[in-house]
Amino acid sequence: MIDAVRDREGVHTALGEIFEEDFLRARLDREMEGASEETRERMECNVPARTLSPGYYQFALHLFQLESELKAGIAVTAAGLADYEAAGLVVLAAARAAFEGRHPACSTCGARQHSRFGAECHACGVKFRRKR
Amino acid sequence: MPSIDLTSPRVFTIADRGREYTLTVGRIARKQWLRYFEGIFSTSENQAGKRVDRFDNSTARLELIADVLTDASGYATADGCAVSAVPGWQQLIPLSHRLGAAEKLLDVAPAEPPEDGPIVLGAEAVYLTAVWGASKFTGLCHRFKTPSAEQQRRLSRDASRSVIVGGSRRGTTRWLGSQATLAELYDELIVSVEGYTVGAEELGADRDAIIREMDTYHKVAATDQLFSPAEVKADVDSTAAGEE
Repeated sequence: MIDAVRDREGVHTALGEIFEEDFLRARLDREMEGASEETRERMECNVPARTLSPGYYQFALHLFQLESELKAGIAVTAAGLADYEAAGLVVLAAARAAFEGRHPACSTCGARQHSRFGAECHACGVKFRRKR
Repeated sequence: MPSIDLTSPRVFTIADRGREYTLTVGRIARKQWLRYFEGIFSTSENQAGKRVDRFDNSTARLELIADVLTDASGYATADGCAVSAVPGWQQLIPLSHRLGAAEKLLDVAPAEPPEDGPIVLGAEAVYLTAVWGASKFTGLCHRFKTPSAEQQRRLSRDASRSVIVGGSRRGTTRWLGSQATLAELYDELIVSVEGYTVGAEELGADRDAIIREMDTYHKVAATDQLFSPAEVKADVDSTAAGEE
């Protein structure tokens, strides 16, 4: 039996999948503007299926909520935070950093890229210079 | 308006094969309700990327009713003695009768608020309908203080607790449930109630009495309703409507 909230590897995977899912859905929403119902359904199939048991995703959503409250400046005392929540926030930061590494932002317009290897920004078209 | 007397035993009459049987349930203590909640199997699985939820309280219901039955009548006993004099009599009551009575114990549902003006800011009212013994009560009102961010966070935390049985990928998530937290939050937030009495005394705004006397299942149902998002009306298509 696994205590989902204390399984850091599982929580990291769930967070990573949610980041990718959101990114892909936002892209599909842009591309599907004006598309037929049939095309929409076909494109929806491109969103990868979740791979873990649902408990991980529920805790991931709780972490997103907690993080947004902290970012908004709502005071959370150490006593008001469970140890697994604190650990979860660290995992969330790591999962976000990994996602941002896979999808770097364009230095001109800020749009996240489909991968690290694109030659130009899909949003503003600026050419990327490769580091030698 | 008729009120639930929280001290009165709940008497359920069951008609079966032309005869009537009665089952009597005494006051259900908080720990008995919490034991019931812990016995609920609320699970979710990932099947080909889709979440599939399951809920099973059948065992927990039977354990609850066996735990809280105080008397029964209408049944024949081998030596003609009272039903409650037979050792382990609760387990000897026909299963369908026990299930029927247990179902009535759990018959508490959110209700529409009465048409009595707009919501007063700072006092959140929740309405329930509930079966208590042979009667159904409507307009049971619970008025709460507005929950704090900390209280919402606590509920969110406990609602997200789960254990995974059978491996992280193919395993089943068993939700640990947040009913105990909901009951705690009720005690922290309740301001007043309507439709409940203790003997002939209205509970009204007596917070200590409400916390002490209120049935835990009603507490959980009311607090759950308090934290549930309200339905938001959305225009079908505002652009299209504007073009007309």
